[in-house]
Amino acid sequence: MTTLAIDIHKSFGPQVHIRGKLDVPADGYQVTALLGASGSGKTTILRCVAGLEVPQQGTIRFGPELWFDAARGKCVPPQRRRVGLVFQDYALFPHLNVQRNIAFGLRGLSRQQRRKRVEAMLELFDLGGLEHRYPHQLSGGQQQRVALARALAPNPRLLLLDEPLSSLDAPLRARLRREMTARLAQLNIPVLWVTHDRQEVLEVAQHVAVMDQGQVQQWGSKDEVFLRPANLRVARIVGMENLPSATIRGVHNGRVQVQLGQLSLEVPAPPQQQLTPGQQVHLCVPTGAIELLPPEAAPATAQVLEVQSRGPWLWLRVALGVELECWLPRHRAAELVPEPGKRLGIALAAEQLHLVARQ
Amino acid sequence: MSYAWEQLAWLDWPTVQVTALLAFWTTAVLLVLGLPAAWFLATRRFPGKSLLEAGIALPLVLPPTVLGFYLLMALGPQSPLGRWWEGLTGSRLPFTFPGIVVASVLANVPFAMRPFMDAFGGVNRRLVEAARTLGASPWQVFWRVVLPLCLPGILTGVVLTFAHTVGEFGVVLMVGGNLPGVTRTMAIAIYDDVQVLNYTRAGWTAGVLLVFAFGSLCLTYMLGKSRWRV
Repeated sequence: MTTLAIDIHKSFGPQVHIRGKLDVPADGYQVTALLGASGSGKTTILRCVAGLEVPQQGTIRFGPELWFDAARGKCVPPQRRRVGLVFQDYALFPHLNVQRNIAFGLRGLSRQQRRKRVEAMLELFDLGGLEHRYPHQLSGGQQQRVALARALAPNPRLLLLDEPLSSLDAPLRARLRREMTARLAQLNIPVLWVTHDRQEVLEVAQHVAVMDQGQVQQWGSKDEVFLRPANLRVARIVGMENLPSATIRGVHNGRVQVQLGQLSLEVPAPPQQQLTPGQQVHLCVPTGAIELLPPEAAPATAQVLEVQSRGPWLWLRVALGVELECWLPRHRAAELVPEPGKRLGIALAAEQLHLVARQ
Repeated sequence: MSYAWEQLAWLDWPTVQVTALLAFWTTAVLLVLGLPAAWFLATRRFPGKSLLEAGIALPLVLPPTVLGFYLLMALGPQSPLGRWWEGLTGSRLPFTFPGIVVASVLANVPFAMRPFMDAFGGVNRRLVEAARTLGASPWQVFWRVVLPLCLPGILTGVVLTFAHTVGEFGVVLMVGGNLPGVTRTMAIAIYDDVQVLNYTRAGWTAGVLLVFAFGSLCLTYMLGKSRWRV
């Protein structure tokens, strides 16, 4: 199994420190997303992997190859790492047409082989007929496809994408996400995908690393990170809507008894956390784990504080000692008739709940 | 047409030749030395860079006589530089053709360096980085990406330097004097002709310089309109 193992420290002056430790699975096509707000350091990690930025400390390994080792003063230059990189602004060569942009990275091939490879890329990225255009004569979506084709033509061992969709309009972005992943899957190349958009991560990635304040806070499979965030920061970044305070009542056999407002729940114990009765924690309650019911059919009731129509859904804020946000599909609203002040039955799927420490 | 050719005979051809050779050598020296220097200045940051940039721009605002005076002192037989050159070649720099080439190179530094530096500085760093990740060595990046993108700027520097040298007056006069066929350039010849009331020849020389200067500037403006939107 091939892994890109990153463990680096890069500082820009005394104030800004970027620390990244994560493993990126690099066998065949799989997407690892690097998720974080702008300025969180995710692009710096990407640039260090490409060799465009040199960390002060640490190592970068790709399988058995050592790409960077600060202690031994070793740094493989970008042109010898064989990685493809697509920039946010694509950085197409303005003096070369589409065909020659794509052919730029091809070397050691005969004329015939080069032409074949370029044609295969034009075909895969649906760029037929545009080969003689210059970058400024292309639309944003076309430029993006040329940038991908150019990065992938030399058959890199790893593809790095820096916010590849963020300069496009929202409707186009959603469509391109699906098209792009379908094409990338055909090439069987592992991808490290930098983004600030968690919807994008949910749609394209199998693995996620979350960055905040210059540090990789957590990395792992998408479900692990989105459903069991390691700390409050990660929980907020992955979009956990409800993070109410709860009190530990007891711990036994990998189960934790917690008091959430008026509700007493038994939830799975998080790994590697010392919990003691009486301790205050945050409970991650994804909206998908909340079910609203008629009052008589539920173990507890909650008071409706606010109702907003959000198209086919209703968004609600309810209180049961703590406040929770939840969603109700329109067809169930007829039955429950939620309105402010009214009490509704509420049930939480305890297996979907997750504890994080207070900060 | 034949009238114009007859009138061109008024031109002092040895002077035209000195002027053209001076412009050629000045441009050649600034191209060879100025390109790497401009690349260095455009891509690096170091303490004292602003001072160096101000120094490069200095000949734009300095009276040519001031530059010429210091050069005369620096190149003369009393200076170490002058003695070194005399030991090397057996002749002195002031009042010789190599002497005015040195003076003209210095006087034209901003005309070559500014366009070169602007061109190099205008290259999007992402393009260089993209080329690196596509397997190009720094040298290949320079030839395949930087140079083609900077060509209009480099040509502008070349044309401006050549045109400005053709019209050089003060510095050349101070360092080279006014020796026919050796250091007398067309701009100096006009001054001489006016002094001896030969207005016809002065007029023709001035006309040639005017047309040449205007044509050169037209060329630089055409080069300035980039073919690609970057």
